[in-house]
Amino acid sequence: MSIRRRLTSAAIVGIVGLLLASCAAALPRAHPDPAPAVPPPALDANQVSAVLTGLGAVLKVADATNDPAPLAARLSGPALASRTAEYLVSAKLADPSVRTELPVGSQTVITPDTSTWPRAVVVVTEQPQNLQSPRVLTLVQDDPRSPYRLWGWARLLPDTKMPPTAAPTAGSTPLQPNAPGLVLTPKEVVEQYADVLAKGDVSTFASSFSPDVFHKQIETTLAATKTGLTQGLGTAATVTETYQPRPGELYSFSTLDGGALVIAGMTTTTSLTLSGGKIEFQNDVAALLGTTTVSSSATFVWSDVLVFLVPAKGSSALIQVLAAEHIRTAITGS
Amino acid sequence: MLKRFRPAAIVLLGLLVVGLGIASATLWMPLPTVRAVAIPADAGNVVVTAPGVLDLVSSEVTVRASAPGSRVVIVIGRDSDVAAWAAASPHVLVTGLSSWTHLATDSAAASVPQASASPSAGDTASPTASTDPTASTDPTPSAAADGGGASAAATAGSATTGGVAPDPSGSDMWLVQANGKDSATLTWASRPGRWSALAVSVGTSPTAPELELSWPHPVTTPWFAPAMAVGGALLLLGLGLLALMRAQTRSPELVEAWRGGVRVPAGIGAEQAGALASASAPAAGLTRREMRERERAREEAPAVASPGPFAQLRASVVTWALRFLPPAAERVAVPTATPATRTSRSMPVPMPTPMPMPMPTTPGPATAPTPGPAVPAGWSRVPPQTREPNPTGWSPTAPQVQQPASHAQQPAPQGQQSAPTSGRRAAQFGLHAAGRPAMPAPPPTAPRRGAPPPDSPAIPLPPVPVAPVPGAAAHDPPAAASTRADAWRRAWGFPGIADGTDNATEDVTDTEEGR
Repeated sequence: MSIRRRLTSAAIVGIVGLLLASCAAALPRAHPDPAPAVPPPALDANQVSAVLTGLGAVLKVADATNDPAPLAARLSGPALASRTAEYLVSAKLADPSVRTELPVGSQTVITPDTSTWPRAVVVVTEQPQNLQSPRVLTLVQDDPRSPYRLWGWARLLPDTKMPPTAAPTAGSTPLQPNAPGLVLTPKEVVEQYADVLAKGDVSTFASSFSPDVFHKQIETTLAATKTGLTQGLGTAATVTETYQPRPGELYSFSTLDGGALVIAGMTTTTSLTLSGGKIEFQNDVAALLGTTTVSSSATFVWSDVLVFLVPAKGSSALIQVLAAEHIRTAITGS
Repeated sequence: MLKRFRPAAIVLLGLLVVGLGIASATLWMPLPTVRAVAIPADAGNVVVTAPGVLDLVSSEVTVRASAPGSRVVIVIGRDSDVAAWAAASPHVLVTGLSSWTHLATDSAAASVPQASASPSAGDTASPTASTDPTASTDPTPSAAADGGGASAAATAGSATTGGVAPDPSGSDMWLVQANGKDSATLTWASRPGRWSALAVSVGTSPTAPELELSWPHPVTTPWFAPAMAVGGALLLLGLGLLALMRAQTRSPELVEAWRGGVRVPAGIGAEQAGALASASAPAAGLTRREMRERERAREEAPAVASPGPFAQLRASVVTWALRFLPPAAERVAVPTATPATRTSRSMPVPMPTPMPMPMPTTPGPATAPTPGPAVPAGWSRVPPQTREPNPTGWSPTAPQVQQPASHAQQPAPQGQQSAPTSGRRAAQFGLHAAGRPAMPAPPPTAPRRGAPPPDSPAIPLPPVPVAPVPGAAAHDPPAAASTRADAWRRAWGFPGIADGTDNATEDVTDTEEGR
């Protein structure tokens, strides 16, 4: 009897317990979507627009007074240096046209599929109002707590066009500086191009690059300088120019055809040495130098931004320079 | 013993189930909004939700963060972005719900921030070089001027590692953000992907923000209807059993009429069949006149019961339901047990002698409503002495059979009941007569109250085995005998006769008055 009673009471307790337990629904647990194998684009279209809007606002404020102070919020690297120099010249000469016009409306956006830093977003802007060629803006986020800043801009060179890249909603794969699968790794591209700039057609790498307007312009400018100095000072003046890739400032994205878009920073340094006589500068150079005459030496520092299109490995195509910028950011001399 | 409480237990269980059902739809009904709070331990000024927490309950969440005295910023971004942003500071990670009102949290110390790969950070340019290139006369700083500004800016942006986290609202990574003094609120509709919320209190010495997530919650009461149905069914069943038990206690004849008023289908239950057999045994002791009268009464019985389809259904239902009840004798005997009853119960095999041989005069099969004694199963539950008469094929004669003789004690009361009301019959049961010296053994009783119809079958009726009526069954054979007629009367709406509970003395008085 007692066993039966115990069993009965146990059954009743069990039933009541079950009823109570079922009345209190189980706590939901977090079931996030699985982490994707390929990270999603770091920014969506709205966020890119917001970044560009922020950049435009900063530029607008800074442009109004030629004051570089606000620029740090949205500019860095070659872009910050270039803009700062432009403000200096613009203020000295009271000529706003010396500033590079930077539209912030986008034609093409390349977003990176990444979850690491630094991150770079590439924007091909609309054509500026002065009908120059569109700019290729590279916006970089250095670390999670930093905003995207305009690291550099470059002008699309004549007769070039951007390669097909993945839609910004899909995102493009960022490539490491030593990424394989290309005719040259991104790092090699910049180093060899610098060698080609320095040595011209004598460079062993000259055959890798198709002739481009930027290279021609560099050569032309240097030759003109040499010619002018020789005419004025004879052998008393020597001119040398070096091309140094900025270490680490290399942003690469795969394109749809398996190639890569490689954006690199480079510093060009032009050194004048005088053994006699003196050189007078005018206008923008004088503004940057802070004086008009040097008698012993002068050093010009240029911030360069280069955009290469690198074919995939096995391709017979040559590496092409799509866009470039070459802005004098500092001049020192005495 | 347990059986006695079974109906009550069923009623209680039914009430319980109904109560639980109601409670599940009222008291325990989930609120239309699930609101859960994370009260962070003192771990910085940053609270982060793990991926999947924002759509934990439903797809739309309202995030509220409050930190009195501080400006509060809430942002939502990709989980990896939020985690990376928060990693540089000690922060609280909300991992889920710990209850319906509280969020489960985890504290995380500031991890070493990812080394910035930005080369500009490594530049050593002085700030003046970057802000005023012309002031510099040294070529090298101006060469690095590009990076100098960037470095300064980056340092300003990424703030310090550890300690107090900066305002996150400057970042471009967030999809939505909100801020406010003391508290901030934003709503977020779930979208594909992994998303996290980040709440930061901003100020000179910000306190850790208290994060509250609330979701609209579709309220359903899935247990209400089933519980009501099951509980209601249990309640009805229990009440029905209680009513049946009560009816059986008060006038077992009525129950027997319900059940026995129709032809009991063969094989309806071995117990019952056994009872049929045992109950019919005493018929052997009847006189022929009694037998005739009994026969007549039996013939009337079916007419009264008018077994239609419904009646058959009812009969089977009652028969079925009776299984849930303890034998009436047991129920009854306990509270009103007299010494006599106890005696009889204590000796389960007292009456082999009174068991007469089957009467050849009884046209058993012809009169038996139950065709044949084909009742193999359950025989073992009937005491041996009742089995004896039956192998001859003699079938029970009484359609209004007793309770199943499922207990050893059962034969005793039955034997007593089946004793004829006349003193002569009582005398035959020497043992029982001796055991009940108080029994006056009165003649057939007259109706106690109300004038019975002159042609009432009650008076001439021979003793018929009846249900052990409480108290009366053992002590009051006249009353027992008349209860069957009483049941008929009640069934026809006539005033009933004495309750079965009358004791012998009362009955005697009544009988005397009736004379």
